[in-house]
Amino acid sequence: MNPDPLVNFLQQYAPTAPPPSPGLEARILNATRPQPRPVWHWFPPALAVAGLSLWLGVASAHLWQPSPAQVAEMEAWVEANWHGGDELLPLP
Amino acid sequence: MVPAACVNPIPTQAETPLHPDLALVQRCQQGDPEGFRWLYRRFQPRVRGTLYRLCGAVALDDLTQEVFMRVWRGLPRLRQLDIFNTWLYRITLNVATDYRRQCAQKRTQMETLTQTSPDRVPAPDLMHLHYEELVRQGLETLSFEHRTVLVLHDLESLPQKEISEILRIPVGTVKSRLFHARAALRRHLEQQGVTL
Repeated sequence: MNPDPLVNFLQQYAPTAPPPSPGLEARILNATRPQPRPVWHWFPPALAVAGLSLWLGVASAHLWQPSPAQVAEMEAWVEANWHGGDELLPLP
Repeated sequence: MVPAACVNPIPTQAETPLHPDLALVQRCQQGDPEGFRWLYRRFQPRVRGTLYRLCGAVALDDLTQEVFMRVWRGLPRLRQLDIFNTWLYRITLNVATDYRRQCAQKRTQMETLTQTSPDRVPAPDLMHLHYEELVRQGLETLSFEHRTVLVLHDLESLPQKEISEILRIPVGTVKSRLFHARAALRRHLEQQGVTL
């Protein structure tokens, strides 16, 4: 009990809020539920990354050329590992 | 059929040393989907009561929703759980202040609307209803600053120190506003024939 009669009066007759509308809780909880990200949020970055990867792959395949030393090394390896006959296979 | 998770929404003391309210806040921060529902149910009456006493009934549902949306967005950044109550009241007052600012811009429309209180709780008797209306009118005569302090202190029973933290003003200013608010309200009630 508060010694001030005004405070007692206020607490006794304080205006009470009307009850919330039935759908308010659902409205709030729906709004706070994590929503799936719309396609236009994730598709452009994903497309950009895929395009860049492809471009890098193609570009590196085109740009890479073996040096003469590497060519000689590859030829030597083929010679050493060639187990077939010297003749070419007959044409069918 | 109530799911088992809903029966005991608040962790027991054995699970966490935190106050149950703060444990609930922590659950929300950890992304517990049911946590926010219980947080809403726990704090909605307090938020709603404060908003009603500060802004009336017209936009009460929308204002309540706005408070809880701000709480939802702000929760991940809330580091000190023990100030949750102060933080919640601060958000509530910010929403109320924003609303009153909007109302001031279109005052003529709002004055018409605030005269109608659509969903009043039925009062037990006419005298109670009359006094409640007098208090409501009295609160409306106060400035927003005075009204805020009076509502938080005398109706929400918050200590002056917490009010000073919520409003970010010195305790002395809280005391001064409370004194003037009470005096103005006492005058108003006495003019209406209430003997205190």
